[in-house]
Amino acid sequence: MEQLRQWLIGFQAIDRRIIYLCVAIAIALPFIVAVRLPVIPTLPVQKFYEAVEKVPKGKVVLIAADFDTGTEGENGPQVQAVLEHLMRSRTPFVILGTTIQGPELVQSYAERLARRYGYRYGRDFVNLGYLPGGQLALERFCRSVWQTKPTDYKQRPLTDLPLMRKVRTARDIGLVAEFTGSGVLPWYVQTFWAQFKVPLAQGCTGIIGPEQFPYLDTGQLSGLMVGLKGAAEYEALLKVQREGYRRMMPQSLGHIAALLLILLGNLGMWMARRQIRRAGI
Amino acid sequence: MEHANWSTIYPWLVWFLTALIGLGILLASLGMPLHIRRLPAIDAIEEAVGRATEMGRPMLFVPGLAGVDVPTFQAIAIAGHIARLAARYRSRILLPVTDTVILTMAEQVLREAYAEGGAPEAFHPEDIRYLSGEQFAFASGVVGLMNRERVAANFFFGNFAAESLILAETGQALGAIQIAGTPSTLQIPFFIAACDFTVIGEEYYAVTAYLTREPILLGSVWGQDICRISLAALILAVTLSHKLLQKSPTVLKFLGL
Amino acid sequence: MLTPLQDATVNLALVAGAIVVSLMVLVVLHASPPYIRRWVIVVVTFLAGLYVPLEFFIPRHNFLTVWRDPIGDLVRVLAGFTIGLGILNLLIVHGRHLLQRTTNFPFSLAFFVGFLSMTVVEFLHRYKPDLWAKKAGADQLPFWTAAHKVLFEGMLLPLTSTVFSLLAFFIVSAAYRAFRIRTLEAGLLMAAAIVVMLANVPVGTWLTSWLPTEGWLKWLRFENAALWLTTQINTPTMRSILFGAAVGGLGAALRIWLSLERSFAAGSQ
Repeated sequence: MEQLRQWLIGFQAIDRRIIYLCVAIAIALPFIVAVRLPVIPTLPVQKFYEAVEKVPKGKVVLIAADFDTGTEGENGPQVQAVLEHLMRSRTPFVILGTTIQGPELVQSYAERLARRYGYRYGRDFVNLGYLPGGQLALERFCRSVWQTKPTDYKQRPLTDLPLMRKVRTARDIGLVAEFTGSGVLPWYVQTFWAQFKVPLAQGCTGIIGPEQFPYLDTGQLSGLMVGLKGAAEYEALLKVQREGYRRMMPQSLGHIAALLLILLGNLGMWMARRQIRRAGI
Repeated sequence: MEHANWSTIYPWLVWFLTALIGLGILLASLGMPLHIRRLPAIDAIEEAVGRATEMGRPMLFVPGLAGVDVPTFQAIAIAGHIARLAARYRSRILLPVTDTVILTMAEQVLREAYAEGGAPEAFHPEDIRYLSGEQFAFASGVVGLMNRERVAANFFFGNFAAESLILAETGQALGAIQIAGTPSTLQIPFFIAACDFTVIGEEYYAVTAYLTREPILLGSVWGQDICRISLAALILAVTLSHKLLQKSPTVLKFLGL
Repeated sequence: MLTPLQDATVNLALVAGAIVVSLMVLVVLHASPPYIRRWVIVVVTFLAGLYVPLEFFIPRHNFLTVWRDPIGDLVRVLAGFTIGLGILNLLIVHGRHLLQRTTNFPFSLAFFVGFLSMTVVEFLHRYKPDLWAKKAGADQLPFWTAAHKVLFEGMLLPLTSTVFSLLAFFIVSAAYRAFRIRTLEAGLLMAAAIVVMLANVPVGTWLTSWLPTEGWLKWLRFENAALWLTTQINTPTMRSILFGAAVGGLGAALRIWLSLERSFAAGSQ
């Protein structure tokens, strides 16, 4: 009994390398033992889905790829799920990004999906590439797309791209779907939403998720996907199981490992306190 | 809105808040005594500098990830204060940046701070370095810098994103004393978990006033506090009189409801 | 307002003229006494900071609105200048390490290898994808495009994702160290954290999937409880902190605009 108590007390100060090892095992296990659990879509993701469904015919969706390779793990599956939805519903889209890597990453997803759904570059989707200059550049883009970005990401003039003939200002955009791991949403709220009343929806990383809910609450965001779970929920609405869904089990076990370690740490602390109190110190 | 809509409360509110802050500055410059409560994190800066000097190891100051913005300006001002303290002991401060405009500002501020501290020769321009504009490339660079230089004290002030925990945990593992301050609400929990002292939320904008005790800055902080109280009172008043307001569509439109 | 000129010669002349004028201004400023330099900084800061709020607060299209686009372009041009400055700083710092064979020079060598290979490959991929290589067939990628894919998607993407994934380990070790229930508030925080963490994964939603989706019992389902905590507890708290920080930001911005924050503007001289 005493040995068990001492063993539990030891848990209040585990070497961090053991913690890292436990987390690594927990995340790796689902790749060996395949366990699949259903994903239930929540309200913010359902709203995102409906926002895409409600895009008026004749307008395009702006995919704002404001993420980079670091957050591709979470934003990537989100974008892919939305692109698949757009291609299924034959909604044209334009890719733009306030980061350098984002548009390139989204282009590779779009090309892969385009082969499956028969989408053609120039006719059904266009990539305008990187837009430097932050909010000021976005404001200018809203007023005149052609003046701000006269060429696409490969320097082809917009006159050569049939889709862009009907996209001149923010009024030709039916929805802005923004994907990011940083706090750039206020730029879009202050430009697209406030000035041109273009609906906004966002896919963000789990870390910044809590900060975006006030915008959903006020109606400035029409939908919100948070982290990998958001992507998995969107895939559930599309009735498919892609990267978002596949990565949920490792995340599940990772969370459980974290909770168990925290619990053990607290157990060790309580046992140590009890021992001190018993010793009358 | 593309331009201010003066038939709504918003532009009037901005000017009202600005006027309150201006009033605070005016009253302070006329000699009104102002009190600012203790910020333990800022009091600990001197202790951290002293500890790094005793250990003979450099300090690291990270002014955040954002480029030229208000929190980064505040961070550079704080870096200047720390540099003046470090100059007394001829200690080194490593200052990696993600933006080259901040690089030139930081170099200027630290050079002057070391000169004011009486040790201009202790300032090394190569300690202020541009690492990368990419978030995780920057984080990797800072982590490498921490480990190679074996820093004894870390200061994280400014806007941070996901890399905050990478930096703070690495510093924690090295045993460095860590002081952080950020207006980024989402990173505050990570800094609280991994750092010894943290400045949170609006305290961050009061740091320069706390450090310098300049009446104008203290007056501005006083004005900010009055602004917050006014905003809270306005929200409370509108919430409580919501039923009454329903009968007046003009007022509702003015309030943006 | 300022439409670009189509004449290349005139454009080049304007660029050359701008460089000459800038150099002259720099020389004059450098030769001026410190108090003159300080006043120049204060005046330029004030005028630059005055433009945006003035243009915004004057209702409707006004005499300042026509300058909005040129100023947006100016910001983009300035951003372009800063890239060169950053690269120069990196080259100087790492070049020094390499030439002086300091202890850490292998890291500087790695920097040069990565920087040069990425730069060369990207330029060739963008402008001459078939240079020094066999012409690509119909279904093939040009050589330098393939090299770009190897470096970008094959190396940069996994490397940055790996660094981001370190957060998973660091979060657990930080939470393990910091999450000790010593008070009632800590206990409440822990309970909320358990609900939100489990709701964010299928395991959590599966654990309470047997509960009904209607009626008051639905609030015991993890995903509903987490949504309630996020929207009814967390969101108002976030909003209040944002209000406070926004007002603080307004105050700090005013101080910087009016050059009251002396410590960074032009030193405390």
